[in-house]
Amino acid sequence: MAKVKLNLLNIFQLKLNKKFIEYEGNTVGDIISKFIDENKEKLDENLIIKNKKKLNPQMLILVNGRNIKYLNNYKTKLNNEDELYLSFPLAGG
Amino acid sequence: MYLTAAGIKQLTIIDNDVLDISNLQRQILYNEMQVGKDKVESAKIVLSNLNSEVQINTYKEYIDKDSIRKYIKDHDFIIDCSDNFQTKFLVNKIAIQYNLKCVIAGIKDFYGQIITINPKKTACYQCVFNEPDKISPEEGPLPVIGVTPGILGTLEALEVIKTALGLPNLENKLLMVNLVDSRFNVIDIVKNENCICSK
Repeated sequence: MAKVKLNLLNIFQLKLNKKFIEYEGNTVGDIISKFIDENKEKLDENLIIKNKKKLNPQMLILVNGRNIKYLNNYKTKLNNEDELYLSFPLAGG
Repeated sequence: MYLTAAGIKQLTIIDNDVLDISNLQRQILYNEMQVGKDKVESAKIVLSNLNSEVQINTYKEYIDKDSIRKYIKDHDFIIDCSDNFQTKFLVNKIAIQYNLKCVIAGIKDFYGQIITINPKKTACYQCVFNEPDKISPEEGPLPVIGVTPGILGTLEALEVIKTALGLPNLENKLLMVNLVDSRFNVIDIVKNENCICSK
């Protein structure tokens, strides 16, 4: 399994009071699933899909600077030292 | 304001709004005397008083796919100051179509993000963010601390100036601003070969 770093931004950092979490997993789905399992009580319902191990699709997930929508979404395979970023979408102005 | 103070040659402002007193918490260009008046006209008065040598063009109109095309001729840069994803994606698309550099920022609460786009060379807004049709309509007024758009707006002005001077800017970078922790985070982003900016 790949050892990766999940960097938490804005609301996620505030909710969990952590800047990053290190995980092991084969895919983005593995990492997000573990993240939700460990933190679901701290995450509001607008951040996650209830009863599923996925985030609300509005949330931004980057792997090494690429949006997972252009990779293979939750099935995106991970390599050692990959950097993931998790952010709430910021549309205000 | 900083672009006008810097003596930018020409500034075109497009906004259909009328000033509401609730805007004054963050839109410090205005004052109580201007409540109820068109924002673009009030902005023109303030900015012209700041630097009379800058040509300020104003249009009281909503930005949409038709209106934006009318006003981008003879401009070098688009600055997104909108408060919704639809407009940000539209600005990005138009910037790519017309090969204009642009800067797009977004905020919520104490947080902000900003990216500068050089259409032929760098990652664009759509490379990084999810398309509007995949975003549920949490649009409209989002909670905001007044200082946050001030800082992100200042950073947008800085990007225009730095880009014009050929200095390092936020091309291929996403700057995430966290004003709770007073922390800036720069993420290297990658231009996507399947995105509209690569076609």
